[in-house]
Amino acid sequence: MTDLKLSFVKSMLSRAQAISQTEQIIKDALANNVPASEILNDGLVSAMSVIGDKFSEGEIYIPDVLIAARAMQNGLDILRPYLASDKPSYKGTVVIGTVKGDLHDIGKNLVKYMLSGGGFNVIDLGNDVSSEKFADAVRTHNADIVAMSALLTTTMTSMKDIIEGLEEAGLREKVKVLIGGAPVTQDFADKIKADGYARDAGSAIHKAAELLGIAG
Amino acid sequence: MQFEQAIKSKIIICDGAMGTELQKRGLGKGVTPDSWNITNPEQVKDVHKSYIQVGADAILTNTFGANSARIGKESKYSVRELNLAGVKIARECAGEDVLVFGDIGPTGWEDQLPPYGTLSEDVFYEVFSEQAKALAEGGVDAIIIETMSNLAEATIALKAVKDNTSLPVICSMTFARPPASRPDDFRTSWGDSVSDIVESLTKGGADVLGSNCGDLVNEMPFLAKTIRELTKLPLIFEVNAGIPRIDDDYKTVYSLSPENFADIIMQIIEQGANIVGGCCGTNPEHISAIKNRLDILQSR
Repeated sequence: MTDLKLSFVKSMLSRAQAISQTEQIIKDALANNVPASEILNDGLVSAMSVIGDKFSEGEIYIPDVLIAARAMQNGLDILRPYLASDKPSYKGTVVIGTVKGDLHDIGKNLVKYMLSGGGFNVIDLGNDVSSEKFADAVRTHNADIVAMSALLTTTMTSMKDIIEGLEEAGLREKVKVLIGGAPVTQDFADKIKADGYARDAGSAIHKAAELLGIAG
Repeated sequence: MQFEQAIKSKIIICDGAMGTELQKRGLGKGVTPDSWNITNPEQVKDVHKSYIQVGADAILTNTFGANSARIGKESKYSVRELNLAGVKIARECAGEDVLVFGDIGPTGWEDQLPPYGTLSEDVFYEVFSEQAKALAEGGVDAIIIETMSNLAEATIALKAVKDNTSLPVICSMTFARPPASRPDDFRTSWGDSVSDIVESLTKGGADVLGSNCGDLVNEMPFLAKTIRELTKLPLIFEVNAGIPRIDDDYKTVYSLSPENFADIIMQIIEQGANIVGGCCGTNPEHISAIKNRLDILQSR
């Protein structure tokens, strides 16, 4: 269903019309008996991945991603009653948060939208998240990935504490750790022994899939 | 000295970073710098004085996040209290010879104006009006709206300041690094172009335009040139001390030495900047380096 994917990429990036156009495409597809799961996975989810790439490449900007995420969310609400199971098959479960001391969450939210749009079950712990809170969430939600963001150079070092907290809680082997945020680099990720680094929300989809050994 | 007189007669040297300097003085993670205007005013003064001592002509009040959107409902102090305290501290340090710029930062809200979000212009306008009034009441020489990534928000902030005060207004936007394929296409992370920014903020009555913070350091002179080609207004540039790195002790270090920083600032001045200073990671040594270069230049 490449056509559906392309239609969604276009509709989700049509700014003021993004929500209504995306909704219309979904309704038309349902009327044409396209299975809801196909509209979701081959259409919306694939389109979100393309949008992530465009964001990574500097073709589109933060507001485009925000509105695409809203169009996606609205689309999911329409599709939900048509989906066979209430529990969609996720690619994996991610607990995400901005690290302790850091109150910025736009970047973290972009990643959240991308990952949930890209087929992951995302548990958002918000901002200023402590080491204990991450560990608790990993246990409660049986998470596959811990995704952390820091916007400040002064708080990015908290990521190290959180990884150590996961080790102390005996959870480090169980989860992959994915980090990002403006001051974060691959070097830093290596230094604190994170499993992956994503330089922006678009690459986070691919990185998360890569960490779980699946196609993203 | 009056702002209008100063900007016509010389290159104004602004101060450097406040937040990182307060951290050196013990500001902990999770504590907002603005709250120190009330709880630790001596430390804030100490930072202001350290910049004035090396030759800063203007200092920014420690009020970047002192708006109702950022301080939140649980703040012990009101927006007015935080801003008045910030101006009082700066004013006491500045005396007659140094200018005080009242600092206004972004709301930090992810929810935005339609079609991207659900907030109305009035909500933003109220936030900025409240802060602008308090800064004016405290007695600043000018207002600086800085680190704005979203032109729509910056334009509302400008209107709020213009409507509620008679002060000169400096508007400084933050730019992302352009993609390699379009190195001259400077845009904010919200996608606003230089030409849209110049047009909207000029129409809004900005007295000074420019840029601070963000991903650009070495590219700042080129950005200055790009903006200069579009406007005759005075320009401001506050540059980060390079790209931050974490050293082996997990301390944050900024890559630009004061001399390398001054090299970039001098190139920016050559492109026609009128106000220059430091942003994240800069300290009095960086400002001192600018002062020395300008002194040499002017003694020729």
